[in-house]
Amino acid sequence: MLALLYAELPLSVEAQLAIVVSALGLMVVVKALRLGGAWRSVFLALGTFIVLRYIIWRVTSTVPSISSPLDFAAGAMLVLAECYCVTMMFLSLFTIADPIDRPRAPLLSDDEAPTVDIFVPSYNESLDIVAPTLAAAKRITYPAGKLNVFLLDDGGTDAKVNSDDPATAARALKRRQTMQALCRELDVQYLAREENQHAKAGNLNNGLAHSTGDLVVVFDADHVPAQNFLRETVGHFRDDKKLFLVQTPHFFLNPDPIERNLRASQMPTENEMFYGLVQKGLDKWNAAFFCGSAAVLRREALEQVGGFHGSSITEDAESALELHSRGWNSLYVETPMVAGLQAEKFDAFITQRSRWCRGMVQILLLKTPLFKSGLSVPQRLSYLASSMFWLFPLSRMAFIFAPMLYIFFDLKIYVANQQEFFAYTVAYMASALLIQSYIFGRVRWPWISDVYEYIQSVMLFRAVISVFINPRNPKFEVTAKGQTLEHDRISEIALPYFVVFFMVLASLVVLGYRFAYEPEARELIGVVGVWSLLNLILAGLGLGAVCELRERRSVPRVDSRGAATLVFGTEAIPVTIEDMSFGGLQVRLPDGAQIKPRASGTLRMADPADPSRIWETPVVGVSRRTLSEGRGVGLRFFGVNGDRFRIIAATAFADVGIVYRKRQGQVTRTGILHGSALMTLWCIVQTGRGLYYAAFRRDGASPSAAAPSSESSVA
Amino acid sequence: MAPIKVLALFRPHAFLLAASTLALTAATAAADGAAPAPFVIAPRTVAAAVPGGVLLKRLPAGQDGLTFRGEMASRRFAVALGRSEAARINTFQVALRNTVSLLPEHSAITISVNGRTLAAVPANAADKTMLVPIAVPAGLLVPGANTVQVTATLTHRVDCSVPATYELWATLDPSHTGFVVPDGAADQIAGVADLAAAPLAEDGTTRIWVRMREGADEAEIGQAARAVQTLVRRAKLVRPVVEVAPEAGRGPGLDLIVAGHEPEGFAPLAKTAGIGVGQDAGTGRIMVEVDPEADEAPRATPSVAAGVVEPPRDGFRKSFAQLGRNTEVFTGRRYEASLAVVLPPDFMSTNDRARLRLDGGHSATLVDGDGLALRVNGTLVSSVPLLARKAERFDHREVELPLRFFHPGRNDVTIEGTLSAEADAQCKTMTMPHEARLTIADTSELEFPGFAHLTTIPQIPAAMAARGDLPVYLPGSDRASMAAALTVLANLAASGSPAATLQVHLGIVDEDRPGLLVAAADQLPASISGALRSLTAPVAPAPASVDAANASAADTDAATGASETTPADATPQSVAPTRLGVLVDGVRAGLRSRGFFFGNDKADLLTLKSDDLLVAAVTPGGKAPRDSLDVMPRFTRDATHWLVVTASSPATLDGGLDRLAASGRWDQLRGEAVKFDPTSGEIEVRQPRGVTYVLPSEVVVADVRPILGGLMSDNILMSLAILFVVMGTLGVSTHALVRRMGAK
Repeated sequence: MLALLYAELPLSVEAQLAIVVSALGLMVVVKALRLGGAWRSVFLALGTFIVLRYIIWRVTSTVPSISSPLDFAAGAMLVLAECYCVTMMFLSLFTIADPIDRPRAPLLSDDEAPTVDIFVPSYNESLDIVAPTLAAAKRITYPAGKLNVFLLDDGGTDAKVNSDDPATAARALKRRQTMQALCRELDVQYLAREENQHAKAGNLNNGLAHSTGDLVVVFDADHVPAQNFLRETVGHFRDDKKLFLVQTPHFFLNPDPIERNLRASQMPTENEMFYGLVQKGLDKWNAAFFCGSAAVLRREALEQVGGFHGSSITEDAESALELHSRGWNSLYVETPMVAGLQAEKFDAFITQRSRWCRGMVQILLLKTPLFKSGLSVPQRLSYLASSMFWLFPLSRMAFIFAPMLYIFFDLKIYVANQQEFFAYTVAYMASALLIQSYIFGRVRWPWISDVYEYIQSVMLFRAVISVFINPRNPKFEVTAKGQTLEHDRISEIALPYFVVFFMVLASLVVLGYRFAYEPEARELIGVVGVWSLLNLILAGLGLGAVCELRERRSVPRVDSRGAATLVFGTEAIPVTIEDMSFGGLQVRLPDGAQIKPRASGTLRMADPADPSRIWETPVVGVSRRTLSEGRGVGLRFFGVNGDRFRIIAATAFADVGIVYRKRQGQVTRTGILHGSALMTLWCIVQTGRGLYYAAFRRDGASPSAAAPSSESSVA
Repeated sequence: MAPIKVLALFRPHAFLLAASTLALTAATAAADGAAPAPFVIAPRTVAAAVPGGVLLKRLPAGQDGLTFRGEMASRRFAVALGRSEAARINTFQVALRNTVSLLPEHSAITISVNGRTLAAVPANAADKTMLVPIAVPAGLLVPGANTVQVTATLTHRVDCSVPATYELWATLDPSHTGFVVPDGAADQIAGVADLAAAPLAEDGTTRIWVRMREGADEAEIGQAARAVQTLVRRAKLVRPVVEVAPEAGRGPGLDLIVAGHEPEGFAPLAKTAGIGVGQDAGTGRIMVEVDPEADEAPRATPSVAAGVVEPPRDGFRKSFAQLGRNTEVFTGRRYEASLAVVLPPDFMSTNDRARLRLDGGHSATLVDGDGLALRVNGTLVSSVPLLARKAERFDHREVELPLRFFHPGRNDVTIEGTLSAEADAQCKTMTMPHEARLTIADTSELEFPGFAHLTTIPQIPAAMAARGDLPVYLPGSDRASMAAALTVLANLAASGSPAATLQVHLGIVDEDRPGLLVAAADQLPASISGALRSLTAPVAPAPASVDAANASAADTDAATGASETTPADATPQSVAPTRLGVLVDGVRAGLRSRGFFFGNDKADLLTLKSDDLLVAAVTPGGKAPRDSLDVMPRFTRDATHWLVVTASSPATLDGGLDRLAASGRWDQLRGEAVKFDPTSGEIEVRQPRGVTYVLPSEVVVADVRPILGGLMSDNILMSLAILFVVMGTLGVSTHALVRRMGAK
């Protein structure tokens, strides 16, 4: 209370400056010395105090008078946007107040182990994508007879197979037959519904209706699980009978389009913050929620709430919310044990984020987590944070366009003088940056959140508004995965980014003119200029994000190690597997061994778990490589058979941790100053690239193509 | 709570001599809207002195108040006239003298009476004082208060630069300027209401001769003191100066007799509520018999000429017209206007701001670098750049005046405009157009917010606002000491200080009972002397060179009649600065250039000369002033503290008080201490380096938040200490709480 009272006192600008400089100074010391424990809380107390003083000042002292309705409306809109950001900051800091690390799950004896049903829901993913997941799921270590794997195929529903459109019906039937064949091959149960009502939630509920396992595991079709998945998760259910969920991280093999297009391979991936910190924080408050895949759920709990909920298009979070409100517990295991794919194309990325955004806003509006009975206060706040986060497109667009209201229409949106701007606004920004760097520095570079938010906001703004207009309207849209890009190109949805960029640029030009000819307003123009410049940096980076770089590999190669034999006719060559993807592999040949170009043969490999079992799959040589230790050859799988996917599962994805750790080893950390300089540099480069693509790559762009599906090659 | 008082120092609404060239640009004309004043033919000038024996009703101002500096200056005075005088006076006499630098064709003194412009007198009196009779139309004057507005519009003869405007001055001789009372027209003083119309002294003061013997006892002096205050309040006398003598007074003024001590020859004419008015049968002098036990007189209000407004205590928003300022059309190079905001003794500055919303505009003749500068008590707090070579219209252009620059008492808000034009470079004064460069419309507004009320000491306004028993300490009952003390008390009454119960003490000072102490320096008790020494410093050598900015500020201060000490003004005892000190000063200067004012830069020591008058507020017991490095603020329940008026000798004290009253700057006494230079008529104000807060007897809920904010702002080290304690506690407790909550 004392802190609150202090925060809202009207102080002179000198006192305010002294306070924020002192507080920021101590924060810098705490950060530089990497102090933790109670110091972390002191750091956050100081930081949030500065933020609180800023927002109270903004609300009470800087909104234009209502006697100028237009100014007031514009100013109030901006203040609302800032209030949202500050609210989100406080909610986020509460959420990650004390992230926890769970101990390993207890090891269960075969008798103790509950029966487990693994659901792999699929809508339109190709066999190349689905098959490794099924094969890996079958290879998960678990007592015999207690594990069943189901392919829940919404691509082959009765409705589609019997469609009035012959082409659709033929495609669906072919898919169903192909998938059924694959399932028979892999000993997986195939389930298809009459029609795909309630999207993914309905599909999972269909799986529930046709299975009986105590626990249910959900893997997205492109999420290849590691062998130890159940070992690290199922044991937790024994000790907590009210536990309904064990969620694990989603680890992605490929970069998302923004990361790839900005060539930002050294920065932590975007989801690192969520799975590396936020979920651990949510776990503290028993609010870790279901993320749709890579999770184990208790059937009893699901049945109590009528299965997976589908009133929103984010059935995962919604189901978790319902179960938490009924007293069930959740838990988060930080070990990554699935390897998945991110959307490769920018539009697919936006489609995915649009679904998340609309779904979470639906939850915010329809489920009102803050007032949901049965939830504890921390859970309410956690769910509020998770759902309200997706309103960021509104605030971000306000920040982009608010300066233009002043520049083009001379609306007074922010009543403050230079001293106040420095003592309050600059201090607030410095505090926010310091907090971000101190708390999230391990998992997020400075300004990256702003970059991602801006890039998504341009397209998600309408999505949020549409949900507010009709919260029950959004429909589930499946994210396309496993796509390739043959050429560098501008995304189909790039136009708005160029429009925003040129609007910001034009506003800066006008601002320069006003600076020259409105000497009395130079103070304010300077402030707006800095703000617009930040917007220009974001807009410039946005241009880079929508100018897509070529990506010919639908699934990246994964470092792998394993012994195998290549058989060409009667010749058997022992080889060492170097890396592998869904479509092929690279092997190292022994000294003196040679393979003819385009030679077809068979890759033979013993099951690591049962060496007496031998897998064989056809391959064709496609390239020769010189490796550091001998000569290598690139091979491509062809044809469809179960062994191919068993080999992939056993070799590339048996231990996802190896892949994850290697990826983490490539990531670097960066400080505020370096990060800021880097952003500026990126902005220059990406703006230039964006304008170049706009000028010279518009016509040469080739449409993206879905990854060639093995379905077509199945006879 | 005492209301805010705002004094407006008025300026003319039109530059009469240039009326024919007042073709404003579209921007300024649109903003103006006021019709130009009629052109007035200059009256006949008379180089000879007024014939002896002519009775003048003088303006209530001394030489300082009638000296006009810069290109345009205007003041308004209230002159009380009797019924017969109002009916028969037909001439206003101006005794003008001006600098040789003036261009007579474009320099004039304009006289307006009761809102009507009578004449514009060309300023062509460089060699000797020029007497100019101005006809007063019949029926213009009224019995009672009449307003005389004097406006000087001055142009340099050969130099069109801004610095040259500081050389411009014109002055009216106070002894020969006023309404000429025809023979036999002088009104007979018939009652208290007529006393204000009594003739003023040549320096514009009201002379009160107290008939009292030297060596009077405490009771007699006390009675006389109460009588003086009652008279001043009841008769609304201005600028009173008290003389003490057993015999009849001399010259203009009136004699005061304490009831029961009527001298021989006293012929009573009328008596009202304990005040009798009569005449000395022998000399014909006006004599006033005052009963010191008469009903307490109502609190006096400051003079009409000051343009006092009393807005509600929760702030106000008024147009310049409501504040008595007309639309100004300015054709010169250095515009200057001021407002005086009088704040009550319990004013506490908070992080709020007053706002000026300017209407008007400027012409397209301006050049780069022109602009308006806004100062509060001499500190530049805001600026408004003006567009070069392009006319601009102001439509409520907002300028902020942070409240932290305001203090209890009178605060001067000045608007200074630099309005150079390209034509100034050639400076063809006779042929260059004298067109309007700046217009400030009377629709402009001043908004002053509501503010917290918390008395701080030491503050002269708080000391002058003492209520209840007020001990008055005199070193002795010699005439000079008694006159000085009574002059102070008379001016306290004239300035609106509340009536207190006076208890006169001779010779002995009870240091446990703070009050008014009027004495020469060597007559002060040691504790008071010690406290005063901490406020003052020896005279520092004048700086070798003064740059234009300093010169400008100095002249500006001179024009407004007040200046607050700045580091250049006062140099404390020479102490070699430490590296840390240099660093701190450098940081402070850097921050100051960015608009952050740390510490009280108005708290430097006052440099006293031997003939200076010092008025100071001193905390009880002569406690050392708080140092700005003290972490915790001081509080007290008792607001009483010393009001000390002193000078190097009794004669200096007496003379200094005369000059102070004549200068009309009594209402400018503020801060912790004021030095008044009787020679130049200038004052320097020292604000307290640290204050003691007086706990209010009752808490106004609405005041709590701003008061706490003000306390924290005034005591930054305390704020930081609280910040770290609170945040540390919050952090550690949150850490412990979070650890206990939720999953481990």
